[in-house]
Amino acid sequence: MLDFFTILTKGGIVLWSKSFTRITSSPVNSLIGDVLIEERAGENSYTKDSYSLKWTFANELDLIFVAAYQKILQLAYIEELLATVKKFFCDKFANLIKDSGKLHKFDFDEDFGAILNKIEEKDSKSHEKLSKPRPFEKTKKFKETAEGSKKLSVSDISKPPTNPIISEDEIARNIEELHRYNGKRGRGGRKQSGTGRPNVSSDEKKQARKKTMRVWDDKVSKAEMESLDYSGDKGDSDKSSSVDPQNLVDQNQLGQFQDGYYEVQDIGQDDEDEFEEDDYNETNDTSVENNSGSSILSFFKSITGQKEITEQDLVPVLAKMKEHLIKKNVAADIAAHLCDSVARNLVGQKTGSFKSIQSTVKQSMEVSLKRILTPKTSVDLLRDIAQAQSDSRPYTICFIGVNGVGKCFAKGTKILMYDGTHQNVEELNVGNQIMGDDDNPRTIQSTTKGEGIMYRIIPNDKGPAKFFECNDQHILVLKFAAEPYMRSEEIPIINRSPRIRLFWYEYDAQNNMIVKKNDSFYYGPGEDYPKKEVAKRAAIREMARRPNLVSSDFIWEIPIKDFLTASDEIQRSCLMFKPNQVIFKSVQGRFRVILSKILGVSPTNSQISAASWLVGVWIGGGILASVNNPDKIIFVGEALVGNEAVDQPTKFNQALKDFSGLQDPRHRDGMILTKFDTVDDKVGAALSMTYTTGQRFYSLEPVKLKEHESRTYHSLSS
Amino acid sequence: MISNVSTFTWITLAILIVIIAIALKLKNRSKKDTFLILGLVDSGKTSLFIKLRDRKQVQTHTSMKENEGYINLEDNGEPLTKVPIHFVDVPGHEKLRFKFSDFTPITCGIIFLVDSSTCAKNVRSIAEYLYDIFSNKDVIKHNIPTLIACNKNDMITALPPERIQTMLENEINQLRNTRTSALDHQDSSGTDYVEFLGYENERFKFEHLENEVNFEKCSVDKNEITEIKSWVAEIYGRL
Repeated sequence: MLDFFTILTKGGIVLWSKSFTRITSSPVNSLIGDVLIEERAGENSYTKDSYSLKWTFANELDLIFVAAYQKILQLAYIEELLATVKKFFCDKFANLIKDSGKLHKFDFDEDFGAILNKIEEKDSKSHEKLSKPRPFEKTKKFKETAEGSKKLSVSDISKPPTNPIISEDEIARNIEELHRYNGKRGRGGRKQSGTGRPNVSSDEKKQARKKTMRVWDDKVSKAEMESLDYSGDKGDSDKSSSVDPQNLVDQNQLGQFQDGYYEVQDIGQDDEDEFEEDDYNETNDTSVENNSGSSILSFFKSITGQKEITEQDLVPVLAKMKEHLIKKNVAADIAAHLCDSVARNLVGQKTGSFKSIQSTVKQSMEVSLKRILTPKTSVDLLRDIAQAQSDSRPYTICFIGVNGVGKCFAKGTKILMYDGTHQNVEELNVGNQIMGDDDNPRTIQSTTKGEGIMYRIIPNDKGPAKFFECNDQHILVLKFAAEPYMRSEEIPIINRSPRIRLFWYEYDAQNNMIVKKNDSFYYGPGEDYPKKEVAKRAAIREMARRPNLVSSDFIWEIPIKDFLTASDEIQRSCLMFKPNQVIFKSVQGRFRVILSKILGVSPTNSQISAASWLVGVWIGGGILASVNNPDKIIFVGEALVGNEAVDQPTKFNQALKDFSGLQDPRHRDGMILTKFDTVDDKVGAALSMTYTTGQRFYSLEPVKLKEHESRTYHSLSS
Repeated sequence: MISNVSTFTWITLAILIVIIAIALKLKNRSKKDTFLILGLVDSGKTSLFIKLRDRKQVQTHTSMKENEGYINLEDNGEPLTKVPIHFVDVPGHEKLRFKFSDFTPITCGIIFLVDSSTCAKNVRSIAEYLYDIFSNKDVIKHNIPTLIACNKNDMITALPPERIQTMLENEINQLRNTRTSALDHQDSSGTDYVEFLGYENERFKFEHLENEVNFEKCSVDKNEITEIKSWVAEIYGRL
């Protein structure tokens, strides 16, 4: 049962609407804001609150048709209803609509009622018929058998491949094959069969695929751990791939070595006209083939710009556009969505005067790109920080991302040295001394560069800090909780007297390891010690004498990989060290709750001492909003990724949701794309990530919109 | 004879020059005859546009595209201006707002609508949008006068224009520091810096700006838009 139906212009004016019940909230506004303006118009439906909405455009008249129904229902006839109403309304009121300088009354109630009744009847009739099961030939299973795959029909091939993860090698191979079949039939028709091929032979190609996909399971086996460790030198021989990588690199695009520096090739001012001319001639040929009768007329029409754009015209142009996007590192299905969205917006419109279809599509694509990349909320971090300062609370930013993207400390971060100066983090070496949180120097044991497995450290004291994540060389600062203790064993042993057993822990400085030692003091007649008390005293004396005794004020600094080699008992006895150094002023409200959770006690006065490294922990890797509630959670990705650009942000978002334990979990607030200088003109990753997450990115050096899209665009036209 | 010819040519030259000068002046006049209607989402821009054009109340949704047209302003049946005025209602959605800069070269006045009832919550977004407008190259160059119309005055939670003015001034005061401290753009050509509005050592006030800024209250729903209309007529009359 339909809840309401609206017809409005793209300028926001409602021409006609009909509601069958009271409408709560404002779903149409949300639809426009969340979907249509975001260039997701290619999707089928949109759900908000309790409504499900479907829509269609009439682009030549600038109209939007929206139908809404309760989301728990599943009405199959809505799309047909939309199409019928659109056709009817446009035919009946075309003149009135075109006269947009005035408001008109559209007398559509009865007609709409009639259309709705007819379609609802048809729908209920089709439900009454019992549907027969499909013959085996029509099922998907048959198509996947050897027999079926020989008889693939054109309609199957024209669907995009269902394989969700396409590695870059495969794309390269597809492009190669496409280029090989160029020229004969024009790019439009052949392209579709090309993209259909991996569906059939993807199994064979899977073995030949060299690059291993990123595994997203929660458990990591040792073999996988090693394969994910990129920090060392591992010779990778890539000889078995059938595509010669040299051929894929255009030698002219490579930069040159100058004075020992590698200078990247400038993005040239490629001749846009050349592109248009080439393609224009091609599509002209295909259109000549198709309608030989009116070919001359349509030729003139397309020049002077009165030609109405149909789907057929758009298909070859968009296919080429999609290929370019993919070549520039945009993820495959995002490129498909984008092209879909542009197509939907263009079908039915007339080309402008003296403009070819190519340039209309190009213009529309430019507008779409600009819309997607425009930030929705302001990213004025300084303003937020000023606000936080005036509220007397620290502004926390949390960076998360996969290995090697550049989270840890970026080049250029200044680190405070023990002698009071600041140095860039990349200039630090083993042996340098940096300032510790207790005013003592810390000597750098090792520096980490590259990729590796991350560990999650969960302190096992019942204290407040939950856990944090770091790589295997991160040094833990631990306190030893199991004090040296004594145990007296009174087990009657045959032929042996009772004894007092003394356990203690000693610190082996050479290996930076804590070891457990024990000694037995037998007492009784005939032994060293006559009585239990004497033995006890002797044991205590012995304990006090031991060198390197580990007691409660012993602080153990050990990297994680070494820590894991200690015995289980020792591992279990260690606690996170909690020094008190930093003073936070005026602790109130939420902040007090957080701090008391972390410290274990409720802060009683307005100034508290808290661990100085706490601030660092909050800015650590991947910590959760439930404890620290950072102001911004920023996902760090690198601009080099292609199809993974879709996976990474979504998986991290999922992890944030799953592990936060909150009802309304925090999501990522922003993204930072690193290594932007390495990508030259292949800036598609930014587009993919932005499109997937629906969020904005703002690189630390703000990329001017025009320039970014012109970079993408220039390379699109090259 | 010779002097006759030369005086004749001088006269024709003089007339030609006068004609060209008048033509240019007229061209310039008609070049800038547009009034922009800007504002955040849901501030009532499209409703105002329809009210001005058709004097009717109509249901609207979020605009995806701008509405423009030539409108004859009139008050109670009496026309306020001799010629129709060009109005453009630019969508307020964050992703589409930037389009206003396409129209600023031909703009002679800006009407900025503010929703007085939700102003307190959105003061930061409003201030940022206003900052963008006032830093626009054309607005600065031509000192385009602006009317900040506090709409939805009929609501109970509506704030008076003076209050709104103070709130916005405080916010812009903070904004101008953070905006001007932002990092350079990637292809900064040097001339493309963000304007610092107002005077440096004093708190920001709208009267410090070169272009004229007025605050008025209005209510599009209740048809109380006479202040807007008379402001437009006055600005247009100055051209």
